[in-house]
Amino acid sequence: METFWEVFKRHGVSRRDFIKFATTITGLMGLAPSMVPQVVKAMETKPRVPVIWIHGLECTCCSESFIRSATPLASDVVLTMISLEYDDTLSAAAGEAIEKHREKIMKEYWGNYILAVEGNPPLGEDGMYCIIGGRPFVEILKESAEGAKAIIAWGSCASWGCVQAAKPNPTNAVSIDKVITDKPIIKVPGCPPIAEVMTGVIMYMVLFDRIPPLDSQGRPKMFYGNRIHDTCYRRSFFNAGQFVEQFDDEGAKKGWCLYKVGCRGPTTYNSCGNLRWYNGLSYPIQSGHGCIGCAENNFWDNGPFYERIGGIPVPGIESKADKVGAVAAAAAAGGAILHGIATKVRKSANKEEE
Amino acid sequence: MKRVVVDPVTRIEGHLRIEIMVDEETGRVKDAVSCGTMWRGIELIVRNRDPRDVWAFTQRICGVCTSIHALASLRAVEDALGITIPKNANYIRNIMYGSLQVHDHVVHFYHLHALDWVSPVEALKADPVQTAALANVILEKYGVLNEFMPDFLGRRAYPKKFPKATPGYFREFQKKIKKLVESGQLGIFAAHWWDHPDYQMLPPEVHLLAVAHYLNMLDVQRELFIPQVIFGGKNPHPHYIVGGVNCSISMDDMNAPVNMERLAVVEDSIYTQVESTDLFYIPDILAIADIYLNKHNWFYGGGLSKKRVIGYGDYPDEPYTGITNGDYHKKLLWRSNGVVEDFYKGVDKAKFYNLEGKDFADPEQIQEFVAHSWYKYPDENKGLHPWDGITEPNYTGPKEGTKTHWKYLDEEGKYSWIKAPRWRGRPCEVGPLARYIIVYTKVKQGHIKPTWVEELIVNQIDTVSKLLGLPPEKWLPTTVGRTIARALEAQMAAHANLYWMKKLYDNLRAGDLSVANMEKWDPSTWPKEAKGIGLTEAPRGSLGHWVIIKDGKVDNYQCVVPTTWNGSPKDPQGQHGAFEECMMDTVVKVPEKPLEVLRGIHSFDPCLACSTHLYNEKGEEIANVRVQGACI
Amino acid sequence: MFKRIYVFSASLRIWHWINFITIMILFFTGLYIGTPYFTTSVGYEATYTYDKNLTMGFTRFLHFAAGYVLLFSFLFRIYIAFFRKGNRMFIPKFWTIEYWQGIKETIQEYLFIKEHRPMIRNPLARTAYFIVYLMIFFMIATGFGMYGLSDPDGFWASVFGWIVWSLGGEFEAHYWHHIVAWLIILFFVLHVYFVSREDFTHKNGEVSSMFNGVKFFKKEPVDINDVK
Repeated sequence: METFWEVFKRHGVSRRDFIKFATTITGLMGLAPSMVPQVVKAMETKPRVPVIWIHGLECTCCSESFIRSATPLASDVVLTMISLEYDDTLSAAAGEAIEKHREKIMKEYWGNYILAVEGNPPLGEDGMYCIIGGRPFVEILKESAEGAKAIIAWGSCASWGCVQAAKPNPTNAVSIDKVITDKPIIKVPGCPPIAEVMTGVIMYMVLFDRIPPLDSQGRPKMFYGNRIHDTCYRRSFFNAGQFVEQFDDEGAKKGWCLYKVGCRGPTTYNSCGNLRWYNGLSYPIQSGHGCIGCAENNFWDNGPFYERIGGIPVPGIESKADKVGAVAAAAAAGGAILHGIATKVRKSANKEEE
Repeated sequence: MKRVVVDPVTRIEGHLRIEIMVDEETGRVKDAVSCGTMWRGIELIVRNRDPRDVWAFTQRICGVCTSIHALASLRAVEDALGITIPKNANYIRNIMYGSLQVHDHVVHFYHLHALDWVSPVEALKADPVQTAALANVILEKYGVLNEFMPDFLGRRAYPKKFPKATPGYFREFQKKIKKLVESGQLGIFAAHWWDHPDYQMLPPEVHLLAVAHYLNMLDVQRELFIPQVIFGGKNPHPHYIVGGVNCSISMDDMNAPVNMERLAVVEDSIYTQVESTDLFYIPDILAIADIYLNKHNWFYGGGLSKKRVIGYGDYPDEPYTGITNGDYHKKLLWRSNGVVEDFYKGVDKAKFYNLEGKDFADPEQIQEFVAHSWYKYPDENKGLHPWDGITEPNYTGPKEGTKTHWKYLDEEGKYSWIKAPRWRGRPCEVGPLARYIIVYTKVKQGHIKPTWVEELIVNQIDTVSKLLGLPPEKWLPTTVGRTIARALEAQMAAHANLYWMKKLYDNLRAGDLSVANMEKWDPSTWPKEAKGIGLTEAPRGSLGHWVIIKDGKVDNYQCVVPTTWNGSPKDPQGQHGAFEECMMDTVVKVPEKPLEVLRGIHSFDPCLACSTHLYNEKGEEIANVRVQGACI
Repeated sequence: MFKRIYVFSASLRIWHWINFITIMILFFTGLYIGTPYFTTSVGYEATYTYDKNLTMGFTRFLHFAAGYVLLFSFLFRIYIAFFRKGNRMFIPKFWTIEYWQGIKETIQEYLFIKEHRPMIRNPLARTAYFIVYLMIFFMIATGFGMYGLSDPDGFWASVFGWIVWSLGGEFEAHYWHHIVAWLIILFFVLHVYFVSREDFTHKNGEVSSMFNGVKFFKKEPVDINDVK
């Protein structure tokens, strides 16, 4: 396989531009400038890695997000950094031709290709809620995973289950780590993940020939290490107790903290606060809407989105935890008082008897 | 007769399978089956949830036409609860919607559809000098459309995105493509039928030009969506709120979601949309179309669009009080609502039926049938309105193969998990082509006094007819026409965004900063039971969400989406949906490489996640369903 | 007439009152953090108010400081249990017959059937205290888990971070942290009542014992071995 430097030369990129590019992506990946020589060396010696990108139950928002990447640009990624050999969304070929090609690539690069999975497999009805080439997707997933060097779980679907796995999960959709248990899986959650996070993960793997450092949940530390709340530009308003009480009120116009209208920033790990979307242009909180926690497990079932703390399912109604707590405490106090009165009555009665 | 299966169909959203029966003598497609092969059950998942959250769930129906299902859901909930959104929210939602239209159409043409027409392999034969010359000719010839395109703001000193047309530029592209092909690692270009004779229909220079723009636009497309990132915080899947939009406006504060700087960013992006459609998309598609229609007489794939098209209308000029009550259709700038039959006979002979407000609540107008879908109705010859639908699964399996390994589907029996939506019992095509046919017919037949948008559409069609030297009824209802209509619509949406921007500025200058109507935010203000309809013109066609809210929760939710209309199976009368009609109106040169059919299917921009999420609105016993995949 | 029994050591009594104050601070600051019910919509720019007033920042500071006190007082409580029998009375001896006998008698008393035999601490109370200790530990673990995850590689995250993930994520951790806080308050209400009631019905100095350490009994309590 060709190395990056060879590809760049082939594309007529000068050595100087090559070094410049290496410096940029070193910064992008959050590495110290002292790492530049290492990155350059990696790019000179590491060959291009074929990527097979398969789609299960999903909405294609991950692919859409991927092509929104500005650094590096989508065209550069697809044509010069990886070799995207199979992708339902971008591949020119269709039908048997593309399926045959997937098999060919797997055989040719056994143990060396990266499998990227967008969406997840439904297990209900023998997997036949998602069919590719007349076969269940889960079969394709297992087959493609077998010879993969590593697996990337794109988005909350592949990582956690996401919307189709929300209650009542009619298709019994599961995250891919429930099906593939013998391969390293990099979870890149989000609905969708931030574009530059997606390309950043790929770049890291291609350059360093290893999977990025992961946290206890299997997510790359460099992108999922911080709560959005801890990196939010509105954090000082939170600390000061300045909150949006209702959408479009004075606080909303001043860009105050969205905590009270349900923001999930305090419980969500993602790079929205520091990296932001579109190369730092904005993120949901900046647009005045609380985070809905789309990079977190079960976020769909932790609603309603506009309430801070989940409700307690009391039969018939959903109640806020504080309301239930206060009612329970009051009931306990009332019960205690009643019980106390009864005790007193009993005691005086006993005394009289004596 | 040869039976050909293409599965998976790539360069679409979701998973699709097609099966065609080809007469090997003539190359005619005699029968066709299209089958969406995924189902997620989102309508079931939104039940019993807070109606204010549902936009986020339905938005995940599709990540390509992101935001459109959120918009339809917001409109349905607001219709049910009687919420009128503020003016600014209306303009901002229109800008977010228009940006989707531009982006979706541009990406569809260049990245999902172009490779049905052009090939990187053919591009290698091109002469870069001639390609540069051709680029100039194309810009000059087809750029005449730009002359009557309005610029409501007039704040672009010169076009920042302008197609490069020098021999050196194309030589560089060619060199790179050559090396890519020689390396053997073709990546996304791998394994396609590049040897198909259809790739000889265009001169190599057109191939090189289009492939160069494929890559160019791959990098530009992200900028087209910037308005959604500003107003909605991210893309794909921006944020909204019931009652308006979340992005409060303040001209006093840099912390505000929207202020002068933010608006300038949006404005710049809208001009990028204008340049991408005016200077790239329109000239490129017209150059290809001209050769296909006039040189090769390739008028295939019109199918159902010749017989019947349907539209719902969009672009409320000002806020409206409701959809069911008819106010929505009174406020529209783009009245593509209605049905047009027999457009192929000529615009004068076409029949027009109006469709507005209460018609969408009328149980007799829009219905869904299940005769060829894996469901059971008490009477399978009758259809049901979305508000009264019953869903009782009734899986019958494929014709050949096993449960988990299909060979052929059963086109005579039930072969689809999608119900068949029909208007008064008849199938219709939806999409940009349908909308353009409807508006053109309504204006030409004098049913409406055109707004500026409608006048623009008529102008576009007349100008293209003149350029092609063909009457609209000849070139519009075809695969090529479907692709042109989409480009014209993108161009209209880009220029309309300038209009919405101007309206937004005017309103802000008048001192109105409100973006959300919060009067009915609190569920205690809602009626015990409410029904609503949300309508919009999605990139792929007319979209409707039907909601019933009971005790502050979603009781029933139904989406009738564009790809369900287009990809629907046969109905009790045996009438085919638009995909199948299109395939049967096509001739293939190489039966086992049905590129022409693929091109026809792609011309609809299928969105399978949209169409195949459809299932059950009553939610009975899903666990017992014998499902073998969701078919359109 | 009354037998005077020294039940609570000085260290235990000090711990009890520190614990009470800490939990009150934690509960009310916690409620505020969960749903901030007033804002400084007039007055300060956020940037300048950071931990100067009763702001979210300061409230959180109080909450975290009290959290540290709770943690160390909890460790102290465990520590002193090793040194004195009377400090180990939070362990329900459910493997003994007396435990179940005591439970029965206590329930009978609360249902006004008959008074239970004199006990220094009835088994129902022991069980309740044991559960409360578990709840306090849960609050410490989830609290420091969430607190620590602002630095996922840091000390607290490595000690308690796991509990956040084992609950399903941080949203769920917030939720359970909130629920258990209310359960502790429920305990508090019942605790105050039953202690006062014990004092009132058995005249054994139950309330004052947490100040002077002494309880009074007419007859020898059945669980006298737990303090001697």
